[in-house]
Amino acid sequence: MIKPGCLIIGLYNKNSYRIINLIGRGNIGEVYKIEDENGNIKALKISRDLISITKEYKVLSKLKYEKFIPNVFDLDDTILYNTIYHYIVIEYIEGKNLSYYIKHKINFHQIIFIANFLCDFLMYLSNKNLYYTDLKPENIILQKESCYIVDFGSVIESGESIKEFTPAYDRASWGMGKRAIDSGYMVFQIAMIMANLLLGKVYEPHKLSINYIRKEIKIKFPNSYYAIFKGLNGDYTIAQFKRDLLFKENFIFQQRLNYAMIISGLIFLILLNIALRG
Amino acid sequence: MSMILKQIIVITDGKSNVGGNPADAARDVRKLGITVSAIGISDGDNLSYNEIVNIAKNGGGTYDITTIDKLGYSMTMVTQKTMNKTLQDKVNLELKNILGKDLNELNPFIRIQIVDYIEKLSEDIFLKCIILIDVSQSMKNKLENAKSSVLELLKSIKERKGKNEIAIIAFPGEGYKHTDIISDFTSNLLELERNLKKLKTSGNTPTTFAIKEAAEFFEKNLEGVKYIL
Repeated sequence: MIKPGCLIIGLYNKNSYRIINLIGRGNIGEVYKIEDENGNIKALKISRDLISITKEYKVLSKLKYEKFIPNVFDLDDTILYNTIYHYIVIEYIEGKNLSYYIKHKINFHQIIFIANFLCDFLMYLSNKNLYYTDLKPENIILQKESCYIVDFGSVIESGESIKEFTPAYDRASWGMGKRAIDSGYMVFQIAMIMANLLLGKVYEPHKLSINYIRKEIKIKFPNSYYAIFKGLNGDYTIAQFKRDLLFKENFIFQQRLNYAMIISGLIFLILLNIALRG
Repeated sequence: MSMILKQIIVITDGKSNVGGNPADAARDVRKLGITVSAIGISDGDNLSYNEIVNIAKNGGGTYDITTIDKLGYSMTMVTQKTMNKTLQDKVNLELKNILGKDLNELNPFIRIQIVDYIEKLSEDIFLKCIILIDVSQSMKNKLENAKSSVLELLKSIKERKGKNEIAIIAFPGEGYKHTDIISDFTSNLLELERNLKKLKTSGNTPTTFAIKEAAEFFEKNLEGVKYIL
């Protein structure tokens, strides 16, 4: 833990950053809000794990200037407490991550919006032959009009085995398929995040079965049941999942529109009746 | 790739109570080119945190403290991290010979390519892993979870390109033995599952003897290979 106000100076690039505060702590290291020499606010991810930090820099620099991915500015080392640490400097993303929105529920339309965004995001990556294997609420930041994905340490290319994952969002931990990258693995992560958001809870494998979650969703959200049910199967394609999500969404909208028309029709008739009597 | 990566992973929920310090055994075993890692299960109250850390430190491996329901995840991560660490150490040694500098002393941007190389190695290398599992009385209610965790580990590493083999050794063994070989090296899930049925609890916690005997098992196994050739 680095104290606020500390100055981090790069051993190679000699850039200096002032620590503002800690914003996150993960498996690999810590993330701080920082200020660079020109007063710009950025984020700094620091760790002793050379491989993980170097890999993340490589992936982020491949994806530079994409709107839902933070830009990366620097890769360097520093010495803290006589130990060598490695860090990257990335864009600071304002907003709360989805863990917050699991505790403080959000509406159904926003959940569909997020799921749709995640589908697009994963499809975009797979077009570049990259696969994000540690998709979880903590790594998704929701802003007013868009989402941001942070933490690219888990990204691998096709042909590689999965290195970083979180059991709650990992198909294999739930016994729903292999721990290997394919469309079904990706959709499982999204479906589980949707289930978390809908039910306001995070579920751990080895304690519950997937059917328990399905039942909960079926009782509480019968309309959105179908896509999530199939997503949690672990063998659904992203394109199909996306189509079913949006179809259901349109379906609900249509239903609401119908109700609205019936009610307004009734009101009109009542008013007409009153007018005619008067 | 003809290189074989040899790992021992010690899984315990207590502390060694016969046969000296397990961290010393780990240091000796490391000299044979075998890394020793350790996972502590913190569900009970007699886990020695220091012992876990020191086994991993002296054994050149990594460690994790976890609960029994997360053991499968922990084993997967420890195996992988240890693999990366061992390869990183090997590459460092080579770099030191060639450039007089190790990975930490190179410019971060030059590291990118070397990290790629390490990643590729860790994908292709032949991984041989002994799971050294504590079956003393306190593990009684945890054994079923431990069995499924071992299976989870094999399923997980089977997704790599390279060959994988897992052996299971339990400590203490039956009668007066320090260890029992539950399963010889295998990459067959069904075989491993069948062998795991033999796992049951008994006696004390001879971690030190167990580490030594696991290393001997590696040696025996390699002699066997020579004999066949």
